[in-house]
Amino acid sequence: MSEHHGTHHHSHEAMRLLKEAALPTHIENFAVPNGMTRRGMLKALMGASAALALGVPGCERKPKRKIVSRVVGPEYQKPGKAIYYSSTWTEGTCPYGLIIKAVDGRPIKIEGNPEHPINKGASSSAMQASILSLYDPDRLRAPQRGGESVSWEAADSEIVAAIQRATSVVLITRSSLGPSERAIIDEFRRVCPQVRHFVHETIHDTPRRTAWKKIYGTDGEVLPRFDKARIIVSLDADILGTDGAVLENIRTFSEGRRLDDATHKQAQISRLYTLESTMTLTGSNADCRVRLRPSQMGGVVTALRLAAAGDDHAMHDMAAKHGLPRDTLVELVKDLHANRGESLVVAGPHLPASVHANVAMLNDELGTPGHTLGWNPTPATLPVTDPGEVEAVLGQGADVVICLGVNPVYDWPGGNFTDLLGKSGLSIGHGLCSDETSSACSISLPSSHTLESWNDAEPRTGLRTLCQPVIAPLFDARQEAESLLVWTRSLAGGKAETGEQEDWHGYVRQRWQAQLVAEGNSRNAVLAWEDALRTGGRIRPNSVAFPSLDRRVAEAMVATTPSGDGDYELVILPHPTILDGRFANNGWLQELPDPVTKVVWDNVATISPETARKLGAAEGDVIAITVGGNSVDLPVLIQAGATDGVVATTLGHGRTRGGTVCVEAAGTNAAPLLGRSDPAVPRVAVGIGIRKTGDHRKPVRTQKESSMHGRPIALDGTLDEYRHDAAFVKHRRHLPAPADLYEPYDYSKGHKWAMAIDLGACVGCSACVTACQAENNIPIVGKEQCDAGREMHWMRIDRYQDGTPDDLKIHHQPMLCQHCDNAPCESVCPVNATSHSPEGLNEMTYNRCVGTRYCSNNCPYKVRRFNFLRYHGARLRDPVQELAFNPQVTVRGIGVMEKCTFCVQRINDAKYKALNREEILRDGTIQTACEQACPAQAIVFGDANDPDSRVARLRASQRSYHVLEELNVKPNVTYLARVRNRASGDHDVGGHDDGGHEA
Amino acid sequence: MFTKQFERRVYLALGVLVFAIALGGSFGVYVLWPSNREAGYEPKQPIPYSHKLHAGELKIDCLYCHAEAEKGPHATIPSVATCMKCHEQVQTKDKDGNLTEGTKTLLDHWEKKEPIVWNKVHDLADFVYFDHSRHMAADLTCQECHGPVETFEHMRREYGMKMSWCLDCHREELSEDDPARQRGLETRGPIHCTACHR
Repeated sequence: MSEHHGTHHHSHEAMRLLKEAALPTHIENFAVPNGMTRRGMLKALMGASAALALGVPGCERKPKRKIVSRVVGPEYQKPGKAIYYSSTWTEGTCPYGLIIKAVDGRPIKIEGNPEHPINKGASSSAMQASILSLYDPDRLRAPQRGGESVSWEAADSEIVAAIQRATSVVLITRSSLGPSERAIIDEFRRVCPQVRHFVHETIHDTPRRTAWKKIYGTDGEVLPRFDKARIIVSLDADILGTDGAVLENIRTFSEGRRLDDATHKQAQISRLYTLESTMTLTGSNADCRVRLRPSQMGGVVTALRLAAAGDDHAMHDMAAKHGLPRDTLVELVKDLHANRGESLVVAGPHLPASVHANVAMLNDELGTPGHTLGWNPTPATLPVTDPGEVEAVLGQGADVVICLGVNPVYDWPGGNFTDLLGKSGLSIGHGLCSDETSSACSISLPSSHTLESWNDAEPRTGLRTLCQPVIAPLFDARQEAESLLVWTRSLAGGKAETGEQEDWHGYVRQRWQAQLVAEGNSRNAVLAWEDALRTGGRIRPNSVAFPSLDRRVAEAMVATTPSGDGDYELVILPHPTILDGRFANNGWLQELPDPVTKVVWDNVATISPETARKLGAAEGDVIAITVGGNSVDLPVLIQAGATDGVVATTLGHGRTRGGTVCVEAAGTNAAPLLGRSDPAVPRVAVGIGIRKTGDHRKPVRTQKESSMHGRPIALDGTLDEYRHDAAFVKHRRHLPAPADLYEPYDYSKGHKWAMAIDLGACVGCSACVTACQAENNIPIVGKEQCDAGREMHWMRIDRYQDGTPDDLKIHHQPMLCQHCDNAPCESVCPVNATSHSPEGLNEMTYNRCVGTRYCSNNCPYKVRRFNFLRYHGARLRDPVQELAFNPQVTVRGIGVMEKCTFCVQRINDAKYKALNREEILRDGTIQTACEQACPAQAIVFGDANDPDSRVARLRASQRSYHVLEELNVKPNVTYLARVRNRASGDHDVGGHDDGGHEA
Repeated sequence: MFTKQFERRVYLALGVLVFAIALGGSFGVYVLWPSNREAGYEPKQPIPYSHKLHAGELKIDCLYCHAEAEKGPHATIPSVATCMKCHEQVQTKDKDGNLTEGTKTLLDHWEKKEPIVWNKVHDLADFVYFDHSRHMAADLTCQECHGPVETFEHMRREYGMKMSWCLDCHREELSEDDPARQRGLETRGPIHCTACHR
């Protein structure tokens, strides 16, 4: 029983107390200040009116609440104090290390584990949003049989009996499985040999993995090391968005682009070439970008290989044949020549195996393996099963079908899975919510959330991490592996196969203890286990030699390159926030704008302006895309930089079941188009049919304007410019006239909080936006309110674009309250609800705000957010959802203005801790939520008064500038201009293009 | 002189006025009734626990029961187990040899492993973030905010705990040689909004 500080009012109790309470001994007088200030005047007026109305000054309301003692207080858990647990995030495709913050027994915030070698403290939006999924009221609350709740015992005994009778059992799981999960699946299959295990996933990289396995002769995955590469070539690989270990990719990519003003004359940063079919987040960060159709990828790699081998005509011919920008491609060839062993080429997971074989040979010829490419023989994901094989087995009718954490009814490639389920005897769906699959199954079982589960992961050889529960399952849920364990035990007649473990926790623990002792980490298994729980596991990956390539096999694979045909090609990508739909019921991720298109709550068909012209389609016109007999209707979104003739769409939307959020979110399921053109390359299709339907569905964007209109907002320059003059930004800025009407406040004593954001490091991934949302109790508002411009994100990523379609420059700029010294919002507030702290914070005091919105009107950065409606209403009424709130931050109600506070709760907490211990507050102790999440380490927060702090040094950087500096509002967020490493011969000055290109 | 209709309207208006005054008056009386005011709030507790006895006469340190006051934001109330550290042995009986009502209730809770639901005496608004540890580290005594608790037979709210009352202390000017001035502080405590509201 926890101690409640602030529970509900007890009206009966209150009435009783009203009668019984003793008379007071003190009646408070309120103090009136000597000088008649505005406050004093208001107070006096208030007092006077109260006195007039009631005869006595002041009226007070007595709170009547309960405080509940514990019976026996645990030693470590104290009210209001956070406890941190290390764990592993297993919901995505790459398992990352986590540090979970729990207050009063409930997890409220997720951070990356700084010790984890892959994500090194960074986190993604999906990781941050995991907290919201845990407290999702749509979660399945008990096992269901035909719509009726049944007990676990009843469900288990029915399932076990069915498996015992069955001659054919099909087990379908997702591809990302930990070592313990794989072990229990093996054990399950040993106990019942009639079980066939299939892996289902729509955003897998199986074509690539298959190619690698063939040409390297061993299973594994290639690990790009972007920090070691001078030239990075991405062929439709969204390395900074959804492909691979994205958090590691972003970190290493931005490490390869760090600049130091002291050595600016010799500055060296990597150059990113993207050759891609649609504008991805990676493409938006490219220095040089070529628009390419998916069917042209193989040809370009062949041309690159020939050119690298000395054939000067190969690339010219290729460019001439397909009308590609020759200069950029020739530049790319030159760069690869000049940087042998320091370049790397990656290709997207959806491209055919032949392209990957070709890329592997190109990398081999460039001498990259072992240098810029590493090898991981134990990928976290299993290759997926060919859907045709599953269909063949299920088509004959299986006796039992078990769907563990997968949703094939929703996303079965191109086909109808419901019919296949109908042919089988007993079907079992095991998932977090009652989704399309579990509601089509005879029995649906509730899964526990990652934060309620025991698990482990081995994303790299030797890097084994543990996932531990931070809270007991909120509902009558059980994790999928535990269900398998229970069934395996029952089928084996109650006998444990290995040891005495009874439950899944014991199973994982025993495996770990045995392994830790066997590896000589400790002689004491219990201590080694405790240590692994504390640190997150065994967090030192082994280094593995890069396997040698079988050139003969690779050449044979390249020879099979299929060539494209037809006017239009289709690429189906994972959605940048909700992936394949697994996070579709998460409002934070639905409302997180797509980093490139800024579309929320929807999926679209992205086409180039040229293609739109050809089709006669305007933005929002619905087009029917037909592939192999299947047709899907999607609204058009016109995106500059998309390849002409290519339609790109995303998976994950168009859910019909699975919770209120995902059902209410608009969107169309793109899964029927998967694999209809070539089953080996399910996410690419050539020769597709496109037809305007005449319908209209407006995609909602949070940013409607894409041009800076020539104003110096997001500044950049070329590497040449930077080498010539590190302070190149000063020529781009409009400096203010040095005129202050009032004497400036003296901030020189104590702290002065400030932030610096390096636009050269930021890739626009938007993890900071969700981190801020989780930390600061920021509501979601829904599609309609977003369309009205009422989204509540305290931090947004502004995306600007300028240039021509073939040479498009995209700028990502995190925008948040600038905490101006001369804050224009403060002077217009009639009730003093926004004011300035002596430490330089622009404060917002919610309990004073009366909602005039003058401040927002006067804010030049448009970062203030107003609660037009009761956005938190539903969450506050629901006892489960309410648990997700951060207790350190006020939950704002209707009619109140809010904005970034620089995470003042974290500042106060760290400051008070240091003061209590009489310690100096060290730089880096306070991390704002956005800074902590950022995988690129683009955000730095600290004390500008401390000359040694990182932020003070960045503020003094030659690249530093303020946005809208000319207004003399003196912002405390400093931006560092981006340096682009554009191919030489490029005379673009950057940042000053007038007008710009509009999407 | 006046029409009947006009008279009726006057009576109606008077009636409404009288009703409004009565309503407003009773609301005023309710709101200002001493037991409804914050200062002096002294609710009846499930156990008639006497701070006068425990803290005053027996001189048990406040921190023995409110153990987190120095370490965290909440001072915390003691667990039943903490009470039982003494009351395992000390079990007061009345002249008939029966356990006193309070002790009996405590032992009952302990036996049934049930928490005690106290009435919260000091309760700040939810938008105020108060940290006990900071105030303890700044050498404030408990009594400065909670009053002479060691003399209270029944716990009561000594001060209203309004913002102005907090600021009375926070606004006290520091002496010129106070080390806190180096931290940019000119007053005894911070007086900017985010010190308490966030």
